[in-house]
Amino acid sequence: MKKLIHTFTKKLSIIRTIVVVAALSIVPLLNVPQASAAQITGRSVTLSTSAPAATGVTYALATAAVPTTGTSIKSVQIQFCTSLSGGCTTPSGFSASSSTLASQPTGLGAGTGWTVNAATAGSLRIVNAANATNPSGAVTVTWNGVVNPTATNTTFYGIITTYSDAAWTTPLDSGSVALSTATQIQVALTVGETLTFCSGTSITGQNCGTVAGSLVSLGTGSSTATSSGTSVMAASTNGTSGYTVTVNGATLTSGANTITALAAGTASSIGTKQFGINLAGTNTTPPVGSAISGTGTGTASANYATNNTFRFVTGETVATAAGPTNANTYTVSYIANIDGITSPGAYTTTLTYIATANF
Amino acid sequence: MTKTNPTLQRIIYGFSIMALLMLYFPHVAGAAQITARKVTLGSSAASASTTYAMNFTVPSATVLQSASFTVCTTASGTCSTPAGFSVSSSTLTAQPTNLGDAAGWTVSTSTAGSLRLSKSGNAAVPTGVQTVSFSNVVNPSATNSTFYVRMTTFSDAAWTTPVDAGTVAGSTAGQITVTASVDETLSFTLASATVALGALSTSATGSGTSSMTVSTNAASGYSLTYSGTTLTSGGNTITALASPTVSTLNTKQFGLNLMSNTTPAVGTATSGTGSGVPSVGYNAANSFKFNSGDTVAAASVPTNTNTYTVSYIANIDGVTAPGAYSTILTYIATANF
Repeated sequence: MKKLIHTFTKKLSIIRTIVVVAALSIVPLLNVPQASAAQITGRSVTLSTSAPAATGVTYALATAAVPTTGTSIKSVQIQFCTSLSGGCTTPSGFSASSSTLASQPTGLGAGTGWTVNAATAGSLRIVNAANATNPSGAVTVTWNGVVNPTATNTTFYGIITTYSDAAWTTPLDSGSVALSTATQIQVALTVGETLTFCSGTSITGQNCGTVAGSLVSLGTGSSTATSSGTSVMAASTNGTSGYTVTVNGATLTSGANTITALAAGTASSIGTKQFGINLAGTNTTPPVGSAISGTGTGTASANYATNNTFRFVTGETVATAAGPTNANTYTVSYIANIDGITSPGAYTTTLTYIATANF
Repeated sequence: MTKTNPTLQRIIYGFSIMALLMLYFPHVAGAAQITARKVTLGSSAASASTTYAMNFTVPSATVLQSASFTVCTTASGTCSTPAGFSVSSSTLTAQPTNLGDAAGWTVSTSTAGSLRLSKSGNAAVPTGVQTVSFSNVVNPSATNSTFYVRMTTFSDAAWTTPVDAGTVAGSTAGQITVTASVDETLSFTLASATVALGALSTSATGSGTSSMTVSTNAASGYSLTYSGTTLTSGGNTITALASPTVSTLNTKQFGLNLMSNTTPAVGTATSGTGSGVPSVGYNAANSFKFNSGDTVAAASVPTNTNTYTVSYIANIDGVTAPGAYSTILTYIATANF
């Protein structure tokens, strides 16, 4: 029995020794980069896109000055893992195989001579075996051509390590960062065909919601003065070829009597039967009308755009826009003159402005 | 009991959903965009019965047998017909052009809110720019309001199998009423208040002029009369010429006319664009008359301004009593509306 106990104790001791030796031999393997590495501070890795599986992604490393400044750095690595504990598993889909250096790094010592090593798909690496300059200042290293992990909305980690040798073997400093892919948000908006048009006698700005009124009173005609008045209209469209606005109606009429419509552009002439309109902005004879307002590209048509020249031909185009346009507000100026024989009466006409959008 | 294969089940579900979607959006599925499209209204007045003229270009060279132009309050989504819009009396203004056959297209008014035409048996493909115009379409009742016309062409005659589609926006607009009143007018102006005939003699005729302008818009024009006495000095008078008479020296005469005279050389012809003329008795050169209450000029219709020059002559004989002879004449213009 005593012998048995002794044998058992001996075996247990051997087993314990083996376990301890094995454990001691594994520890250095697990902590190679971290063993004597100091912590890199102010560290970040910025992705140009977080879209899963995106290719050609830029990974920009930025850190404060590395803590170990008395030794030159000959290689740097960011190893990407699914977690920071345990063995490193490269996130599915992540690839550094096509990575390139966007530009020479800063803060690592030599300003040139750094090259990418893309042999390790799960790590972004640079190396400069000839670097003999100690690191100084903030560090930036930017890789292009990286492929993001395929899982969306998933965190992954980067372990940043600087090395004193050119084979990513002897670590100097290290630090880790967390990154994440993210689902891309697709924002959809349908813009239908639009034509906003209104007419009245008053409007605030170009807001058709404020248009009001329908009566333009030219007062009492006289053979010694010109009667005048205004109406307004506003138009906008996203039609590819813009819009046209036509004027439609008869001249001023009282029973069988009419005020002669100006079939061609004509100046107002007191003592002559005349009815006409224009969309010009600064008539002086008579002083009536306002300039076209708004940010749109609409303009008055040539026949109706000249100051102090009036015309009225039903069906004619009075305003146009050649392309999609924001709103413009047009002021339509009306003038009427009579001669000495113009029959007395109440003269009226109802005019309809028609906007046609061209899609 | 047979166990269903889950993969097969998923595939069946997928196809079922797609089929339902295709049934739900039959008109959108394979339709290409109609280009260069517009709708021109004959009137934009709210509730007006008017024409809707469609111009468009279909991209597909597929034979069409029907087309619809559905008017909605929105450009997409479920279509709500704008209040007041009606196609119930719609007709084809003319046969469409370039839609296929040149004749045989008919309107269907059975679908409220949708202008429709069809031709079963059309075998001609559309070409160029298509035009379709409907008459007797009633505009939406809201003024200054945008509405949308959803165009769809179909390869069958029952508006079932869409070919191309497109949307245009239209708008009603407030009508502008322009008013002006013209009052009754009579314009009458006398240019001078005094006419001096000078010192009369038996060997020379005294003469002078006054002028007046008249216009009216009265339907029957105007008449111009005068009233007053002959030249008078106390109890003495210069004889008024009761009938048109030439000027005669050494004879008591007082008269007037509205002409350009040579004996004596006095007066000017009527001027102006009006239609007024001197009246009989006062319209012959070198012939003078004075009869209170006579009409000296008239226009029978509305007339622009005329300027009349009244020529006065006076002669005396050897026994005419000396004195300052004068008279006040009053001219009266009467418009006849």
